Amino acid sequence: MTVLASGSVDLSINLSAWDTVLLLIYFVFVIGIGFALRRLVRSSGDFFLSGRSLPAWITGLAFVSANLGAIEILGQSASAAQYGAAIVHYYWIGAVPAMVFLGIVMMPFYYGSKVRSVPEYLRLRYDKKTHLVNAITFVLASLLIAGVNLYALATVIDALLGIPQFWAIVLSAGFVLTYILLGGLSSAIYNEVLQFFVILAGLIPLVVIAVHEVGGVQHLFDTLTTQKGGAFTSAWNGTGIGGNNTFGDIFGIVIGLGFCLSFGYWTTNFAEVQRAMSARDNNSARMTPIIGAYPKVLIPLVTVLPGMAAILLVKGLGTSVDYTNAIPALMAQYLPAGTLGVAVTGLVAAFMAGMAANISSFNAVFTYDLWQDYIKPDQDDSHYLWVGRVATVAGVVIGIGTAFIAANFTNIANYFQVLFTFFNVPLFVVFIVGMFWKRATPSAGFWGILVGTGAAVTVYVLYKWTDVLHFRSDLHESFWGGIAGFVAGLVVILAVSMLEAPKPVEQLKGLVYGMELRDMDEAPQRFYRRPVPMGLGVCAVGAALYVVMAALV
Amino acid sequence: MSDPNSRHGADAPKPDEKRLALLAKLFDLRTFIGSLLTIFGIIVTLEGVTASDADIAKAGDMNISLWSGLVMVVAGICFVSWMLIRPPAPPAETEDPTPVADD
Repeated sequence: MTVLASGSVDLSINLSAWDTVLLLIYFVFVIGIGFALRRLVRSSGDFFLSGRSLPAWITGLAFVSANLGAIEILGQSASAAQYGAAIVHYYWIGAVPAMVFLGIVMMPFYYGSKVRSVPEYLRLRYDKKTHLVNAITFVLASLLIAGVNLYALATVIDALLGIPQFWAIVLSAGFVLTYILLGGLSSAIYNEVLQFFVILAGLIPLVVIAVHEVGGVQHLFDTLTTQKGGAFTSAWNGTGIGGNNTFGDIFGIVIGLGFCLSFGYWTTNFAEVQRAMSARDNNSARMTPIIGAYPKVLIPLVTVLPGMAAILLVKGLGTSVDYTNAIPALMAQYLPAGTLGVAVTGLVAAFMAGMAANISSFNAVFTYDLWQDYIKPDQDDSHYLWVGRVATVAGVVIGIGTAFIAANFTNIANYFQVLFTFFNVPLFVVFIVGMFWKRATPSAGFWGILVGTGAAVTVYVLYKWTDVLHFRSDLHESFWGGIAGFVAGLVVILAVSMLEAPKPVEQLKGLVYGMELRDMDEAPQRFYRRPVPMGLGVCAVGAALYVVMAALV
Repeated sequence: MSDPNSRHGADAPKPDEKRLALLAKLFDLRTFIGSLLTIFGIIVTLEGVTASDADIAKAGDMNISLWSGLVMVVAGICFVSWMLIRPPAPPAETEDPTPVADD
């Protein structure tokens, strides 16, 4: 793989005057939303959780959009160009079941207990050190990812428009800062939903042209099968023991990716869960990730598909053109005036969605979980609102700094995977055991996270820098690192719980299975507002898509 | 957003309520999405109408801007219609004496 080296291949484009106008109109809307929502921010609850007032379709689309950052679009299309069709596993066996699980099983605890953040649940369920280790790692990870996202955008903007990276970073970050400062989480969420549609409007025409140019999806798969072998165009071929699918083996995919990594990411990542917490009632909160799963199941059409088409369409992809530039290269090569402006705006929107999700969750955890709990408790609410705004500014500034550090990493997607292997999987074990086992003791959470993370790091180090462990690819390693983190975390939680006195039962109300505080008198809803049938429905869509894809080979 | 209890009983809407309802519509997310898509769609359609032969050849012999522009206009109109058919509830801010929005 080559290092991101802008300049080696010319991706530059010229935006027409009207295309530039599109970009400017978009910026006006982004800031306009901030101003429109400013009047609704009167308390810290409004700023950090939208006053828990939003309908499910808005929080649901924000849920998927918060994850549809520049990292996702550039990274997943890059991975598809590099590893092939198996990248769909991230969506169909990864994200979708995990999102459904969050909605059906875990959301009642998050929403019903009225916690204001994911780490806050740990403080109530376990103890302060469990809480602190999650709050601190989350704050650091958010800033790091915000920086990576910022850097990804700046690289693309530089390559396409010739705007120097420094100014692309500072200007884009400035817009995100402005609209979050004005309207808080509501502003971030409204913008995410708007961004969702702009991103699609930018990507869909590109996919239409790319598919047309390769002579249809069937022809694309046939050609790539001839060129690169059957494992490249299939989700499951070559995933057996000793198989040749570089993506991984079947056990790693199902258990490592489908269960450990994906459940870890989607159910404990506050940047996502925060969107559901801001919903207006328990049912809307549960429906949030499930509504989000419906677009999510189709996102591979605008990431994986163009990534694979780029192999045939972009000359030198993987050698003189970095995989990460698959989509920008297609844009430069095929999009005419008009559509090109929308696509560039879509990339900028994708970046903003990702960065805003990180910043709006970072400021909530910093303010509630660090400042209020440990530094300055018992202040007026207006104090915490003020701290939240200061944290927003500081977060954006640190994110800008991180963007320059991120320049040292090559494959953005792999880097991102590694990050959440380390933190999220043991965290998920701690949550799921805590929610379903009353006997889990206060400090078990802390030791579970610590040892589980240590195990995942150990697997990574043994693979990367020694000859002890061998995997087919970095992605394959991440699945097994996730499994190691899960098992180690689980064993340690069980062991520590045996040695320690359990938490008194009256402190577990609303936090543990069998003691939920959800509204049981909820009126019967029509099927499309019920989490279980809708959740199972989207899983079935994912399964059906696997069948469709298998029929292409 | 589309809350059914958006009307305040049977009494005739006061000018202030009218203004609040208008503001709620103006600041509804569907208004933002709908108007952005419509504006984008119109501009992109116009660029499609005026597309050069080189533009069309570049995009695999499709006038992609024309088609995607038209689709965006339709999508935009759908969002605005949805908002008009099921208007948002004006924010009930009885406890807050400060006037809404200082535009």
